[in-house]
Amino acid sequence: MTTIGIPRALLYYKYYPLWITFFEEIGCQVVISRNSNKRILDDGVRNTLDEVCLPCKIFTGHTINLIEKGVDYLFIPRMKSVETKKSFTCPRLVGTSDVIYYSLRALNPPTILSPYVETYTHPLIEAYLEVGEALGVEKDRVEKALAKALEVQEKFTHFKKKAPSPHQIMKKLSTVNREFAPANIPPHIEDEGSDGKIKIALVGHSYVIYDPLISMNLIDKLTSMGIEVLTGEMLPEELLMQNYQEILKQMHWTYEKEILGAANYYLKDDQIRGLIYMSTFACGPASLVGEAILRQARKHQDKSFLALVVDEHTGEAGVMTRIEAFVDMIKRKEGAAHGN
Amino acid sequence: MEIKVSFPHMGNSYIAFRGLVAALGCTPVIPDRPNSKTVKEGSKVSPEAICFPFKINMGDFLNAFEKGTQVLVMVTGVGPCRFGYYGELQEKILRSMGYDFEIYIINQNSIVDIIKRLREMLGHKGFYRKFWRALRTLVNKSKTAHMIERMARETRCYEVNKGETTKVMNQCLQLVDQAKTFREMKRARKKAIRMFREIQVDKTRNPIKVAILGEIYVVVESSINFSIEELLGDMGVFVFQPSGLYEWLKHLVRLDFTAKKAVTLAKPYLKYTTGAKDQYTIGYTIKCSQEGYDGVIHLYPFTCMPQTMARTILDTVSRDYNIPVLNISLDEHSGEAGFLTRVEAFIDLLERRRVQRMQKASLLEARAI
Ligand code: SF4
Ligand code: SF4
Repeated sequence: MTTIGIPRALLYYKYYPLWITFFEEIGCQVVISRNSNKRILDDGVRNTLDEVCLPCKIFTGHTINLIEKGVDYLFIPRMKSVETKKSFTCPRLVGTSDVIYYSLRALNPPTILSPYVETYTHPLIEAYLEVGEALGVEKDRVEKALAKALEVQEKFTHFKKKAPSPHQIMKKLSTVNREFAPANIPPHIEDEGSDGKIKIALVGHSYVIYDPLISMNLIDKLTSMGIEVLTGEMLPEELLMQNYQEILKQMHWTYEKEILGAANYYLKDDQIRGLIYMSTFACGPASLVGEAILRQARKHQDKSFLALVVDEHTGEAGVMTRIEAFVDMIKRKEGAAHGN
Repeated sequence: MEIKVSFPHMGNSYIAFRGLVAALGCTPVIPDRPNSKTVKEGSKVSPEAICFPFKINMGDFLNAFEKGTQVLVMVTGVGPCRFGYYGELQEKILRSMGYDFEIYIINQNSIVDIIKRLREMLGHKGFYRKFWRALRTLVNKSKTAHMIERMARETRCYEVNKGETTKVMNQCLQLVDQAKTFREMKRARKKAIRMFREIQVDKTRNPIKVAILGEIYVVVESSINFSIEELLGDMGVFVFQPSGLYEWLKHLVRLDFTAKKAVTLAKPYLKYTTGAKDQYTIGYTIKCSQEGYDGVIHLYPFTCMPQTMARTILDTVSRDYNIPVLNISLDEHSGEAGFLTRVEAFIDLLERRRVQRMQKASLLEARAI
C-alpha cells in the first residue's frame, strides 16, 4: 500500500482528522511522525534557518523523522487561505513545502504532495483532485473521500467544543489515534463538573499550545496546579469571528482572527481569572497580535495577563517559575476578593 | 487653514509624496532622513519582535509630530504579510501615547473611503481636478526619481572623479523635488539626463556587476542599508536594483513586465508567492545569473517571513545557477563595521572568481591553439 507521511506539526493540529480520513479513504496508509522530542527538535534546528519560528523548525524535524521511516510520499499542502472570503494563513505556511524540499534535498526526500489551497478562489475539492491525480485515484473516489473526510473533521471540531478540558484534546492529538476514523467517532464526553476551580484561558496557535515540547506541557502543568484551562478551540467559530474586531479591525489572517477572538472573548468573560497568550519568537503574526492582545488586556484590570514567548533556548525552569508566580498572583487576588 | 501632512520615509519616495501632498493643497512635512535617533526612538515604542521597517516608520512619525504634523499618511498592503497591519497597530500605539492626529491608511480596500474623506477635508469644489493632478504628480516625480537613481547606479562605477555621480544625483533629485508644474518636471528630467551625460566616465573598465535584491524597504532606504549602492559604486561595482516606489506603482496597475518575467523564472523553485516579493528575489537572481552578473546581495529585515523563505531556497538557486549570494539581515542592532567587512569580503570573492574564470578561459584558448 502507498504510504503517506504527515508531519505531526503546524496544521496537523488543526486538520489531522481530515487528512488521515481522506488518505485512508482513497486506499493509502497514513504514517504520522512521532511525538515531538529532543531529537526531532535538534534535527529541525540544524536544518532550518536560525531566524525562522520554532514551529517551522520542529516541522522540519518531523519531516526528517518521516523520511527516515521511508514513506512513499510526504503530504505538505500549501495553505494560502481557508476561508470563503479573502483571507490568509501565515506566509510561512504557504512556502513550507518548497522550503522543506530545498533544505532537505540532501536527504533525498520522497515526492511531496503539496496541493494549493486557496478557498476564496478555488473550491477545496480542486486541491484534493490534484492529490488524487498524483496518486492515480479516480475522481469519484476522491470526491467521496473528501466528503467523508470533511464530515469527520466536522466531528472533531464538535468534539473540541464539547471537550471538558483541553487536556482531552491534547490527548487525542498526541496519540496516533484513529478515533476520528469514520467508523469510530468517540462518544460524547460529559462535563466532569469544575465547580470552584480557578479558570484560566490559554490562547495561541494550536500547534504551539498542544505540542508537548513547544508548550512544555503547559496545559498539564496548569491542570495539575488545580486550574481549569480553557482554550480558543473550545469556543464556537462564530463567537471568535464576532470578537476579533474589537482588538484589530483589519485582520486577514484566519488563525490570528481566532486567537484574537478567543482572547477578547475570554477577557470579557467574568468567570475567567487570567489569560495566557503563548507564542514563539520569530513568529511574524505574533509580533503584531501579541502587542494588540497586551493592549487589550490592559483595559481589563480585573484579569491577570501573561505573555509567554518561547523558542528552542527557553529553559523550562524559567517558564515554570513564571507560571507559578502567575497562578499564585491569581489565587492571592481571589483570596482577597473573598475577604480572607 | 493650513493642513500639515506627513508620511514615513522610504528611499527617495518623499519627493513624489511631497509633490502629491502639495498638489492637494496641503503642507507636506518631511521627517528627518532616518538616523540613529529615528531608529532608537522608533524601536522604543514598537513591539520588540516586529520587523524593522515598522520601527523606523514609528521613528518617522514621532519626528513628524515634533514638526507639528496633524495628519499622517501610511501606505500599507492588504497582502498576507505583516505590512498589511502596520497602520492599524501604529495608530493604536501613537494614540495610547497621547498624540492627537488624523491618519490615512491607504490600501486597496480603503481607497474609495480615503477619497471620500479627503474630499470632506479639502472641500468638494474642484476636488477631483486637484486629486487627478496630485496622482499625476506622484507618478511623474517617482518616475523621474527612479530614472535618476538608475543612471547613478550605472554611472558611478565608471566615474573618473570620485564622488561626482553622487553629487550630480543629489542635485538632480533636488531639481525634481523643487519642480512645481508639469513643465518644470519635464525640464528637470531633461536637465538630469544632460547632467549625467556630462559626468566624465571611463567605459574601458569592466566592472564587477552585482544585483541588490530582497525586501523593498531595506533595499531602498539608504540610511538603513548603509548607502549600499554608493558604497558599491565607489568600490567600482556596477549595481542593479529593481525595486522602488515607481516599480511598486507599476505593480499596482499590473504593468511591471520585467518583474512578471522574474516571477515566471522563480516558479520552479517557489510555486506560489508567500506574501511579499519573495518570488522576485529568486527570479531576479536567476535572471541576473543568466545576464552575466557576478553576484547578488540579498538584504532583508531580521526575521522577515517571505525573505527568510526566499533565503533558504536561494542557497539552492545559487548553486544551480552558479552565482554567489550574500545574505544580510538588518535590524536596529546592525553595525556598520560588520556590514562593511562582509560586503568588502564578498566583492573580493567575486573579483577572485572572475580572475580564475578568465585564467581558465585563456588556458582553454591556449590549448586550442
Ligand atoms: S504563524 Fe507564526 S508560528 Fe505559525 S508558521 Fe507563521 S510565523 Fe510560524
Ligand atoms: S515583508 Fe518582511 S519586513 Fe515586510 S512586513 Fe513582511 S515580514 Fe515585515
